[in-house]
Amino acid sequence: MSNIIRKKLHVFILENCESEISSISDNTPIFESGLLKSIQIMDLILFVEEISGKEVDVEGLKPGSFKDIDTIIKNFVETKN
Amino acid sequence: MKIGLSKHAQGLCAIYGPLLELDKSLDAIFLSWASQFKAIEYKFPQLLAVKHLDRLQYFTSFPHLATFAVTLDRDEDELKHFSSKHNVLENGSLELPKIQPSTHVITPAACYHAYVEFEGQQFDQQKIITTRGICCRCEDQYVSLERQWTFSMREIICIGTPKEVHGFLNNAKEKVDGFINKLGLNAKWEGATDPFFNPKNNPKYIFQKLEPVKKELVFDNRLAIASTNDHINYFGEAFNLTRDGETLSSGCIAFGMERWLSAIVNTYGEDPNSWPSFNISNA
Repeated sequence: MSNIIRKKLHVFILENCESEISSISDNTPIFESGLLKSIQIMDLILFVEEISGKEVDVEGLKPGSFKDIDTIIKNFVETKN
Repeated sequence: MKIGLSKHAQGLCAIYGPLLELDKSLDAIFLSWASQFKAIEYKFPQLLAVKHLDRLQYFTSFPHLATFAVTLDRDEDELKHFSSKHNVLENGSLELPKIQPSTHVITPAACYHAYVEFEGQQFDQQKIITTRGICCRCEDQYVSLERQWTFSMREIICIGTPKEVHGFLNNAKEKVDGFINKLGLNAKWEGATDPFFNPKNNPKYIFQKLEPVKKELVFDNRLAIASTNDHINYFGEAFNLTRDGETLSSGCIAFGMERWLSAIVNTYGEDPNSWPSFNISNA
């Protein structure tokens, strides 16, 4: 399950990234390295909610919770509701 | 001895005498730091074009804070009528006749002008400037010196690569920390988010929660007297600030001047003779 979601996240980020790159690692910082712009955070959250089937508690977000794909999987996919 | 503060209306204060001298002394310290950064000083207008602020989604994020500059319609008859029949109501408000669409906002933050100033420029090295402006933010409640409709803000702004901006912000923060220690103020840096309108639906608010881009120096656990803000490439993209074809980052350190006065009065009391003395050489 996590691997499918991981692949979907790769595709989403590459499709929405303005840079011409073909692959990223699970540890590439998504915003710090400029893969996505800050304004795209909402789209990423909505996508994570869609593929994980879980709602993201915006008020409870902590610094770094959307740092990279590994962190997203750990925080929003492999957790119990 | 009076500290030199008078209240003109809700959110509108004047300072003079001891408080004004303290304000000047503090600003001299902040200016000396700007000088160490080789910053060029600017004096910007007090109005900012709505077309520039809109580019930053300001009216989506902070509509509740904006104070618009409005002017009356140029129609001669309308002006004659207003000139002879205007009426200030008991609650202090003035009913306006037809007004022209607003093109400008009274500056809500001193640094915005810097990005307008440099729009479209290509930089071959980091650019650091400083400016002090009277800023205007509409609030629900006001407290003299601490939360005012108009207040003074000194800023030092860096436009450069992420590494240059981080270096600048760390360096500026160190200067503030040393000064706070010498002043004996009870203040510490904390992560912060701006007071966004409808925050849960605003990507900028969410991003500030996720990426610790803004820090505030909070006095007595209640009053932010300074802040550092790493804008990443937000302003660089909005105003096309580049180096070698790459969009630049920016960051700033801001000092709320009246709040520094409040912090010193709250710490040392209302007798100006008990306030700490300091100058550029020992800051």
